[in-house]
Amino acid sequence: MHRRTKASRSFVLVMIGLVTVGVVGVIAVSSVNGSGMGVGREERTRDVQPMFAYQFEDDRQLIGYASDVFLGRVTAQVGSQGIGSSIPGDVIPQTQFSVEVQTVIKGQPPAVVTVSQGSGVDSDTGETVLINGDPLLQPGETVLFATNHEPDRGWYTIVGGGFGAARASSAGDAAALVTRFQQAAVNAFVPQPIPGYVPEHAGAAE
Amino acid sequence: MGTARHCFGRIAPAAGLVTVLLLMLAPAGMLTPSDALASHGHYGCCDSVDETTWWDKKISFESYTVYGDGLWHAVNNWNSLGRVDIRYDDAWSITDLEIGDYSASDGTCGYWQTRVGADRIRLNHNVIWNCGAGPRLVVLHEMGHALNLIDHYDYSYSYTVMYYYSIACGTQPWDCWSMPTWLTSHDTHDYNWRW
Repeated sequence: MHRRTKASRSFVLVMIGLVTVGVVGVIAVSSVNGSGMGVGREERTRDVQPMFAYQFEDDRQLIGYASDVFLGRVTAQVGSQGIGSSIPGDVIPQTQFSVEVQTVIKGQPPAVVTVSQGSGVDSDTGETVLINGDPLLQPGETVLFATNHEPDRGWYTIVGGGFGAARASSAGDAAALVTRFQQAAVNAFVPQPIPGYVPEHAGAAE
Repeated sequence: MGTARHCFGRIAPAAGLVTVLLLMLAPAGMLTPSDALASHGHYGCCDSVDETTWWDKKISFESYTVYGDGLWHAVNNWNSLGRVDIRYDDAWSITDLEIGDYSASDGTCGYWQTRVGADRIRLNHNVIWNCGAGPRLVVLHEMGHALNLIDHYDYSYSYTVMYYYSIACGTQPWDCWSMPTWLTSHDTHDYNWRW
């Protein structure tokens, strides 16, 4: 009986310790993740993973789908006008920037355009929503844009998330981007899938 | 019995200590089921599945899309796997997922977004019929995200529902194919592993 009593007492003490540690741990994780305490909601970011129509990592397909491709310098953020959806009250975040066009690779954009990026602040939640983690553009950045002109909205929409907004880290980098895209533009295409075609490697990945 | 009591007296504190250590690791994110799943490689941080009751994993959705055929194609395909019940929202349930349409020329077919409150699947009017096999593929793919499956970027998966792009090409512009509108063995494998 003595042994049993001692063991039971140990077990109870351990259980108390265990619960305490668990509670403290949950509070700590909540603070770190910003899921509740300690982090203001406006500081949170959330990625979305769209399915893209084409393989936009291939410059030829990116240029093929885009109406206007150009190197430009971001001068200022000029808007945060989202676009609506059929879900009541839904507004998809977008952010607009003024861009000075420097080198045109495709299309006929004017000298200054408004570019709309598919990222921005969700007005419902205060979260910054990013397409696959692609950060918001910053004034002063030089960027190789692949866009589609949307006259109804008055802006040029970036195609393919980060694929359509390649940042140049230097003047040399910008020149290299222009050369790369000029070469790709020669062979630009929009993919047309062959109906019913199944590639040879289908089913190989498990 | 005496021996059993003796062992219990020695083992209980040790077992308790181990348990405490494990619990300290778990909140720190070092020992969680999602980590074990993530190590398999094809699961995301989040999903739309309501697991309030372990015997009834479900997604209750509200539809605002015009692509009803694609939606029901996706619901029927994923429900055929049997672990999570995807069903219309009713008066007794809380909405887990809202499905609607938008229009943008950004080349996105659609996407799933986890949110505070109901998650959302949005389908892009502008391009959805050019997304390989169209709405059936796109909704099937996005519903996969709602079930915790993530995009596959590796070319070896370029004939699965969860591939990143709706159309993939070989080395030549004419050598292109759509992702399938049915669940491949790999998609099914990922689902079964997760649920």
